[in-house]
Amino acid sequence: MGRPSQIHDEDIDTEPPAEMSGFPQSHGLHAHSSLACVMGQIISNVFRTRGREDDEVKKSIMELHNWRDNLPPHLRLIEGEWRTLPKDVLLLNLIYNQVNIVIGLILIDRCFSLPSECLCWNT
Amino acid sequence: MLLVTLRMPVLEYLISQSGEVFNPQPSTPHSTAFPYLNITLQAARENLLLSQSLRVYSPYTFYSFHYIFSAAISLVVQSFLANETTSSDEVLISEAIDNLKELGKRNESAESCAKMVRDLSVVVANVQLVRNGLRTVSDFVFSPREE
Repeated sequence: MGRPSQIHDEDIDTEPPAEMSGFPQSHGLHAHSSLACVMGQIISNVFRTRGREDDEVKKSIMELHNWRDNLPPHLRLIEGEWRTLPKDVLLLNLIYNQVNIVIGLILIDRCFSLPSECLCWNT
Repeated sequence: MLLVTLRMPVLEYLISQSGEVFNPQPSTPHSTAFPYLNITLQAARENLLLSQSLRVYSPYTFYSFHYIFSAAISLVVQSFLANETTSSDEVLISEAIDNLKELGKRNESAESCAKMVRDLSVVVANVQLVRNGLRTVSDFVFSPREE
């Protein structure tokens, strides 16, 4: 994370993962791929050093929090049960947190103007 | 690349807050003025704990030190500000430095990350001593003595 996207979402014609009988559930894969899409938006709209638009920054942050809010319960961190959670769930939440950390550090000098709806934190 | 991207906003923020860094009771809590602080702090704490859980699965992978470093730096930077971090954060930072040192035995970048977090922690500790009236600015230490 930090380098410009080489392939844009609109250039990808593969459908997102879907449920199919006889195959393992695709919730985890779908969550990873949708988080990757949000990260692509953040790289484009938040990380850019010139021409950063506040509206696009706010929209990207809202997308990130919406992703978290829509995460299925079995992919969320459960307080006190981290040791028993599978690796992919830990990694998924690790990446989500990493995005928040980097956004915070990049916007640390200008987040005063972000509206409260960008700052919801549902655990 | 990430560090280069981060360097200027972090420096600009620290400079803008320099008048408040030594103030033990800032008039407005920084997290009130800058609500994203809480989100970033919470994410950093969670990731340092998560990285400990993930070490069980893959102790020497790239993401181990990459994520530990980002989270630790985030906590250390915010420790510059009065009343935003806690003593348990200091324990997390100390553990992160130990983990980065351990990873640094096999990876030169991880070793550099450990040194950077440790050096910045020393500066923060000195700011806190000045803020608490236990040291003057003229006694400021910028880097630890070599071990």
